[in-house]
Amino acid sequence: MSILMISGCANSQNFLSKSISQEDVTALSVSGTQNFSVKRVVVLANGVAEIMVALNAKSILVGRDISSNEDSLSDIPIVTSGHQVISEKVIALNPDLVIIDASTGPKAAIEQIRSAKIKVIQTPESWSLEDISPKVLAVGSAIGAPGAAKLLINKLISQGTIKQVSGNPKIAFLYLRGTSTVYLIGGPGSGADSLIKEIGGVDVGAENLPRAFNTLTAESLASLNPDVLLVMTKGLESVGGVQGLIKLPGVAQTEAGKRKAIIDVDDSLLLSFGPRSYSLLTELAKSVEIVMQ
Amino acid sequence: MRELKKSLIALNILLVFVAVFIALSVGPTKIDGFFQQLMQPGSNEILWQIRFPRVIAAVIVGAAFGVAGLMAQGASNNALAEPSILGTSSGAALGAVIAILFGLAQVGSIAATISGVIGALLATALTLKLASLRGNLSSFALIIVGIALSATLSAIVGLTSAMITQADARSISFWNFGSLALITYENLVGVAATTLIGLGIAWKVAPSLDRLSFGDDTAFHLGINVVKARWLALVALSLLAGGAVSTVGIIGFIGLAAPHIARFIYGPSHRLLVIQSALIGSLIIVFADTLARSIAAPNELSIGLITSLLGAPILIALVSIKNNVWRVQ
Repeated sequence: MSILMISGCANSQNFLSKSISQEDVTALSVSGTQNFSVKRVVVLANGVAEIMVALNAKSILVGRDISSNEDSLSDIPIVTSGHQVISEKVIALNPDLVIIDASTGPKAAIEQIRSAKIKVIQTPESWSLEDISPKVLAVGSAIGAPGAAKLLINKLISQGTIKQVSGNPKIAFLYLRGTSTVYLIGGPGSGADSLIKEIGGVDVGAENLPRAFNTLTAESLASLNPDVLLVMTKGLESVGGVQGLIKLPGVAQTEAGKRKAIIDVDDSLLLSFGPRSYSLLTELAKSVEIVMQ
Repeated sequence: MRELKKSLIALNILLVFVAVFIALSVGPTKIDGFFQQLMQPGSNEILWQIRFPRVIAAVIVGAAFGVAGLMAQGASNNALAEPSILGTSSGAALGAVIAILFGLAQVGSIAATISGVIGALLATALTLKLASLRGNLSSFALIIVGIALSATLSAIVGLTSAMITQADARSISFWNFGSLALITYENLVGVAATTLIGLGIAWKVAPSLDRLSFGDDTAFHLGINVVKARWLALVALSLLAGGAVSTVGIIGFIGLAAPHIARFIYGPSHRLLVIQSALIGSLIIVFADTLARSIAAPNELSIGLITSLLGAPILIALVSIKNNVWRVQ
């Protein structure tokens, strides 16, 4: 049962903000014992670790990147510093397969891993629901379980229609860092744009800005005037929570800031595009409806 | 001549008002009925809640950095001195960052301003102390020690800010290059107070700095309490740079450029230079910040880069035309 957490309230004013955590969503998975072609796998690609768990292959997962921080993976060692791969840590785990994607870096570290005679496979990145199937198939093929991958894909496809929000609300995805003095706002290709579109919202960043992530002045954010702000949970914490965010110049002047219509989603969940994404979309649509009330 | 200087001051004040007006009217968002909105405070949110505090902050910190540079040069009797070179700015950043680390302050708060001023004062005093360990304060030792201490303190700021988990801690790039992007009205209180007090002390100590420019011995024989004058100038420097840095980070080059441009135009009298360095500093920062938020709109550029791009060529041009403006003739 999914439970939406109410962030809290101050004085007599009710907060409309919503928080979506890992516990609020369910991951689709396949069951049954699998035979894999590899024994020790290090995953350095966003969202691949959770696909492996969904394919019932957690037993062969020996290392992961920092973005794969689901609770179920907490016993698997992290081999990156920030988002930088530390080749020594990877090689020390003695893997027979390392899975990367186009964003994994630095390239020199990957070359060092290859030169240690470790097999490295690059799987496609996923930035929308359509990208999930090819990614799952690529991961399944890499670990020698294409049948299980196809089974999982069929489960994902059979999820049916996605809940739509009413009134085409204007939503902006803000990538927050408390230490930053500029706003980083999602544009076309940020990943959040496809989530917003799937639930029937309008991504004001994707509609008006040129790049996947754009540094924005405060007054430009105010003039985009989103009804709802979508942020990552740790990002929101880094600016002092909802109270800190709505005080910031630019945010304070938006409809979302004035009405505290802010939705934060667990950092590893929001842009992972994998077995949890359909459940996330249902929760996201519900949250948008609630904060828009 | 006196009339001409008065006219030039009036002209500069007028220029600052024009710059403020332009800065308020220019930005990534077009404000419909700008004049009408300007006459009704609070009417337009983008104008009154975002642009106005930012432009006022630019005026205040511009004046603060400009006169801080003048005080640094006057107190050390060194044309190359400025808050970033004497360790003052990085001391201020470190003071503010430590206060934030211990949860005592937030960027732009009065507590951060006070911590910044204390950090600035301690760092500047340390630079002067270390530079004069082997007797008289030499220009060479002052600059070398100042640069070294600045580098050390900046490194500590970097390490400390990487450790901070508090919201609103700001990154090392903020402390090194400065930003007026997230200024609110609340942030203006502390820096306005330190700037006003700093300007007052600078005005008071200015005649002594005229004498100090002949060297300590001559100044002493001209009846100046050299130690007191130098300390007063350092307190003014610390108040001005400390308040500004703790609010908007280190915006380099203004402390060097503003007093030199003022000297070129108005000569070496420190009272005049206090007014003109403040006005020129304000002009440069208001202009640079307007460019930072509008030339690549809706993207925001770093103000520190713009001030260097603007200030450096002007300074080089002035020095190449006339380079004998340092001492009272």
